[in-house]
Amino acid sequence: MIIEEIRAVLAAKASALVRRSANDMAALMHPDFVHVTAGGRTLTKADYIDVFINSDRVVYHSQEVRELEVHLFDAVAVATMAVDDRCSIDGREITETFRALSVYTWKDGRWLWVAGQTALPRLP
Amino acid sequence: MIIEEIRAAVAAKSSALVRRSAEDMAALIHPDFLYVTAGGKTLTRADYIDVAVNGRVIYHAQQARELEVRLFGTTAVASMLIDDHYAIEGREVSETFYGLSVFSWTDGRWLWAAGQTMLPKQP
Repeated sequence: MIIEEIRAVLAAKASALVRRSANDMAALMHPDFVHVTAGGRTLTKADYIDVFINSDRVVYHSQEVRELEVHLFDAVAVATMAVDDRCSIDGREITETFRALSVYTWKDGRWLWVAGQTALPRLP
Repeated sequence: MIIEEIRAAVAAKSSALVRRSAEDMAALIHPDFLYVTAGGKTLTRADYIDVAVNGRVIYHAQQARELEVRLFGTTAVASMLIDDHYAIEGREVSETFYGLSVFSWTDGRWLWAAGQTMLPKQP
């Protein structure tokens, strides 16, 4: 089922984050990737890998996905989820649950992460 | 260009919001639509129309800017800033949201397939 395929991609992404593997992360992402962070910053694929893997500022301890829902539109899958992150930023320990929308495209026999947005729920 | 086609779809959505036209809004949204609100709630197409058109939110204006669009086959992914001016239960709100939207090319037009809106976390 599509949802299990996307769950496997998310698990691979979380693993790459925790292992700080830029190569594994790059292999999961489309070259035209775009991501909007919870702080409102728009990142390309290279930016994302720099910020979340190569930089010493952000160190992931774990990332777990819950409440995953996936809809398929032709060769594109759109997923919504809750993301439980445990990481440190500049030495400060963070435990936070984000809401995320992620988009995947089927390319060369696998799902590639093409876009995403992560948010902390907040109303005006 | 794709960006102008998506800009037109976004403008039509804003117009339907302000005019409170459930019929026009439904015609712009894919039946399998899913949407995550700034409050973290996941909505279907019917939910979205109930909340944003038929419900307690009254839109005065909505403008998208800094639109960026990437095409993946028959799907377009758009990031944008959205300047909203609306009233909710009599309280006026003017706020800029970050939006990520997905559009699917269906039957010769772009349908809004998914989206998430958020307020950036406070520093």
